[in-house]
Amino acid sequence: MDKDLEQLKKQWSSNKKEITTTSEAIEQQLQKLKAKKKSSAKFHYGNIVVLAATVVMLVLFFYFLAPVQHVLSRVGVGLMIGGLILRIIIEFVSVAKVKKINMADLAVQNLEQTRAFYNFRRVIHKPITIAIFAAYSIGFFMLMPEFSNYFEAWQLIVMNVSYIAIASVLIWIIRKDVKKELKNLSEIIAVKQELTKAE
Amino acid sequence: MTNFKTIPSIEALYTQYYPMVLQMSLGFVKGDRPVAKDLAQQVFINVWSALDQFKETASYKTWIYRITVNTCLQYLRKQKTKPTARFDEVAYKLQQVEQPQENQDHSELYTAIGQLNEVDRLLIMMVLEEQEYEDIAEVMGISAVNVRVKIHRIKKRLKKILQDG
Repeated sequence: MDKDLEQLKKQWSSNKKEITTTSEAIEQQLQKLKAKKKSSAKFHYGNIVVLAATVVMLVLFFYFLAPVQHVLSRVGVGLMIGGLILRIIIEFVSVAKVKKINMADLAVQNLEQTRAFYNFRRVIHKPITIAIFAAYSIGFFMLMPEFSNYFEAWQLIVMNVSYIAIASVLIWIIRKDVKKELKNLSEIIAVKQELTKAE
Repeated sequence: MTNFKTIPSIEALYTQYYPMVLQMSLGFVKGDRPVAKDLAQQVFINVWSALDQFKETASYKTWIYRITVNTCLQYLRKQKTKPTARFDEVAYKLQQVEQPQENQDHSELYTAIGQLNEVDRLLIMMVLEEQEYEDIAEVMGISAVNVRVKIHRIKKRLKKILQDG
């Protein structure tokens, strides 16, 4: 058995010696590293930027273009914007939690931090995202009685049908993400069990 | 007297440890060179980000092993969740199909290691790196005794893989 291992060690060592780096190659790689580090920081805040832009657009729309008068409509606008703001806060918490995962920790601790993060995402996805989505949709439909004073019936139908279509696509995307993250959670749990299992 | 801690630059760490990190990455991704290079790059991004938090309780080598192991364990999941390939990535993959011998290292070494599960792959690679069981335990966060027993089992499994060819 040790003979086989010694053979593998020799092969390993000779393969490693073949990995050579020139100073130009290192410089080039470091430039790539810098660019990738920047883009990964931007990626973390991507969702937040999209959500914040939506909130700004909604605020501008309801303030300048369509300042609703009915109490029901105002509550509806509040539900829509409030839901999005809550989601932005959750995204900030999520980013903070990802950043807390210490890549220099012991593998067991790192896996535990990752498991805790995916568990947090599971809680966020299941009850909270559904509640936010429901609040946003209820808020949207609460606008309809007042909108019916200004829009034709066919315009309202187009508005509602397109909302349902967009919502269906969003639900499909969210479901896909939830499935992926739950799969990640179970994989992390399995890897941790494999690592900590006493032989 | 103030004791100043000298933190090496990312350039110095990269120059010194890149071969080790790339070799571990190659072993982890079964010899797929472009993926291994991408993984090694991610390891150094993590090294860079954590450089300020380095504590002198471990050597830089052990510390980089830890980051390499953690990055490897997270990397495959991140890859699976990548939504779409960018145009340049597709072009690169196409180029790979045309020149498979340069990008895919099908040596017996990577083929054998590749048949182990993720954790076992990382453990045996640290053995091939001539790391002591105590050092491996320090990277993984399990006892040295458990490392020893696991490695004994992995060696037996590797022997069988090599015999079966």
